[in-house]
Amino acid sequence: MSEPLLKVRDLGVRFGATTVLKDVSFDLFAGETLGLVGESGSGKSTLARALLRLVPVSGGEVLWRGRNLLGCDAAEMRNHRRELQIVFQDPLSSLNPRMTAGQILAEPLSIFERALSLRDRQLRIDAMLERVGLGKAAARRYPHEFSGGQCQRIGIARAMMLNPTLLVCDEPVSSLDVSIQGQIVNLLFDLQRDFGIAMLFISHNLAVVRHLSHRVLVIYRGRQVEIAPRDTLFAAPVHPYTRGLLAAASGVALSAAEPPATDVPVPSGCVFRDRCAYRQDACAAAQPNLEAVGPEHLVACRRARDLMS
Amino acid sequence: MSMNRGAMIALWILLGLVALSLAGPWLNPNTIDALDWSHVASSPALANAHWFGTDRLGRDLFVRTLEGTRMSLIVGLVASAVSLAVGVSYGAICGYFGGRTDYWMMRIVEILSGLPLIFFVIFLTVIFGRSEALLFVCIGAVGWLTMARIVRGQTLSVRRREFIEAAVASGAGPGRIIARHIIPNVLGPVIVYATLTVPQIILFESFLSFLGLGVQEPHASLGTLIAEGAVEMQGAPWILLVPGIFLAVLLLCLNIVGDGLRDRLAQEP
Amino acid sequence: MPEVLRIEQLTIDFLSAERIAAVREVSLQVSPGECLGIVGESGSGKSQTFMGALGLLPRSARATGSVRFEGREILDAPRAVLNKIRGSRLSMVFQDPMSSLTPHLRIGTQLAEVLVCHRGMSWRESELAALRMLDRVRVPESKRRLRQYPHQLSGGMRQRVMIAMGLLCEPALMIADEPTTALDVTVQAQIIDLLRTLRHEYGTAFVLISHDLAVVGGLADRILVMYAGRVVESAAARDLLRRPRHPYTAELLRCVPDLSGPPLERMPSLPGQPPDAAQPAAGCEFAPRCPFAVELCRAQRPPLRRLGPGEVACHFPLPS
Repeated sequence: MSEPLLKVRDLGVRFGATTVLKDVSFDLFAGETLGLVGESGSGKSTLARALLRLVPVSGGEVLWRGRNLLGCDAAEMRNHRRELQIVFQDPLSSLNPRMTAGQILAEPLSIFERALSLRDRQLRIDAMLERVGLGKAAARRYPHEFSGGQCQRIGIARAMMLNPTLLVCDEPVSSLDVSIQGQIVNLLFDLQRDFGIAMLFISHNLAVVRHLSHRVLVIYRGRQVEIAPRDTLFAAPVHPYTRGLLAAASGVALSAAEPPATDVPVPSGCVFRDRCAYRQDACAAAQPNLEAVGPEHLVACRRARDLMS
Repeated sequence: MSMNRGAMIALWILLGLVALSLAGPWLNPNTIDALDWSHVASSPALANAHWFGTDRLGRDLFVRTLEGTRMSLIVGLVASAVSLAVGVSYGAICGYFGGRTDYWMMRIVEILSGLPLIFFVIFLTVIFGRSEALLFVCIGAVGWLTMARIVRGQTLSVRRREFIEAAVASGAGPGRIIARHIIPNVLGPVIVYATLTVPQIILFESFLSFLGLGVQEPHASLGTLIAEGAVEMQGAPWILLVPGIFLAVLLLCLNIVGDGLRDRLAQEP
Repeated sequence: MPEVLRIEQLTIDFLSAERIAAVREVSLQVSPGECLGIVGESGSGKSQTFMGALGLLPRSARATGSVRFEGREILDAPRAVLNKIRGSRLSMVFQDPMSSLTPHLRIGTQLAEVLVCHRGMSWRESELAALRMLDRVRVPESKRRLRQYPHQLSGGMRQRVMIAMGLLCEPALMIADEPTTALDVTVQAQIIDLLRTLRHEYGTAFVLISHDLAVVGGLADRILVMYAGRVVESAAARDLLRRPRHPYTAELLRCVPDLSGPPLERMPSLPGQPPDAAQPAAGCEFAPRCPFAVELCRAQRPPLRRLGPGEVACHFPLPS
């Protein structure tokens, strides 16, 4: 097993008195896609931003190629940004409405590759527009002239301009029509295959995550509850929350209740305790640690062994 | 970019006024300070060269009014441009950085806003004497304050939008973000406010000139002309009416154009 | 029994230069207690049809045709007439509950307002009725939620509040425009289930609009598929889902995710995107994206025709 590109250890984020993320730890290897699944309020979008230092982090480490990103100064962080890129959820609002698609794509080049001649720059922009399926003429148009799916392609093109090594995708297709989502997912799949990028793919939609991911991480109210290879997670989930999610997504059953609103306090002990059908008294003691229950399969549940049988 | 009919008409009138004030002196042989003793305080007449009449000292009102309009426009536009440049940068920096920078910078704005301006102007005039430069300094010191507040407010809301995060993620530094991402996206309200600042500043300058501060003899601004006219109101009303009407029309057109711009910009995608 | 809603040949045009889908000769009807599903991508005109029918479009929109609600013509009816109907006999739930709820008023106030305005009840009685309705739509801790502001509720809860607001006057018809789109997939199922229960409790007719066929399929009795402002297929839900006749419907079905099968290499989707309303085509609007299109399709627009118990607008409908 080679060294992971990204090592996250005990990452925590707090906004004022509210803990949004706690003790999140995982690895990401080159060329793989890690799917991150969670409902609204689980903190998954915050995790995406925390990794790229777009929100302040209150604890833990984010080791990128061995360097802790959280300890870098501004200049070094800026340098790392060449390799770490992000695609946002809302295609239209992630693009500056006053810039044409061409200008939006030119910006990363102006920041990091200033020596490029104007002509070379234009060639790179045109090539990227073609690669994402938009065509050269798109460079002169403004975001509001494009559809949602096309805007998302521009967002992806922008992220790809500098040949990043890691692409964080924060719910990139959730705002799109079901009929168009596949176009974007397939584009990401192709880009990963062609450029060998590692991806962190975040979504609340299990069906979409299933297409792209090699491994899947499930997060609930800011804490990890399970991480497993994709096929294992979908065929034999262990954590009660994961099971509930899958059952709801398959239409087999409704999950116990809606995810609680953010003002409802997190229960003491296991974060899922108040919604769990398998809870015991011991679950009130402390949030269970992630334990291995199979190859590359970790679960944060005291009753993991029982549930597996 | 076209606006509604009323605003377009106002715009044309405005442009007409500007053209007139620039070309006017060539249309009339009189100068602004030539004293015509044969026609003191004479009423407007097309027969002689005094189309708008003359004032108490026999100076032609047509030329003086146009000079006054010119002066008011220059002061209005220059001071507005300065307040725009200063106010926009100041406000964007406050809004973007937030924290202590914002805190202290806004305290400065508040102190300057709290200045009793007229006393300040009178005080400086006593020390330095009447001059147009002083006028510019005083207007410049306060003209940008509201613009800074507006831009700061707009920046605070634009700052939350996702494309700013995207710019940070692309490695852009604060300078680039402010200049290329924030300012272009706050321009809408800024332009509208700028067009409304121009009449405000003109009115303020007129007021100062009316009080005897600011523009000195023999130069005229609409304010000084109105001051002179007020004295002669009973006997020679045109001395007041002509510059008064010019000022009113100027301000009205500027306000209508400002409104039209806002309506037009509000429709953008 | 007369139909609750009958729309005939509704055509909506926009006079300004805005990029909003036009609606072209749309006809449909909703019987009492029935659930009609409307499916289409963004820009298909599905929302505009009902916004236009209810008089909610901007002044730059021109609508022609006929819209009869409970036997009464309401297209271009005066505002006073429409205001009496909207909110009481006919309610509408929109996609984004955050923008539909007034941010600075408490939930209880907004709910009670409906009854105070339409039924002339006192504020006290209205708030009690609102509380009962919140319980019916299964909002937990309803008493506490009544005193809260919209931003304090989660997306799913806000949507329930909107549904509650829509049902307070026991309308004959409720139109839900993309009620689940802004919500998590897991919450979507709960909202659909809620609508199903409420339908049986109140006997209200429903129109459910969505771009997601799975969402509509779970609830509707009949489904209407729209594309580029027109109806391209209409059939009983069971028939449409099992044997779609229009290629577009078939493609939409293909895109419905299926977690039970093995993971596919490529996620199914439709190529290209919906056409621009500003440039209508001479032939079938779907031809550029249709896997079966031939010359005739591009040259001549297929009219909406009866086919079995349903209708299809296609020169070569799929076999049954």
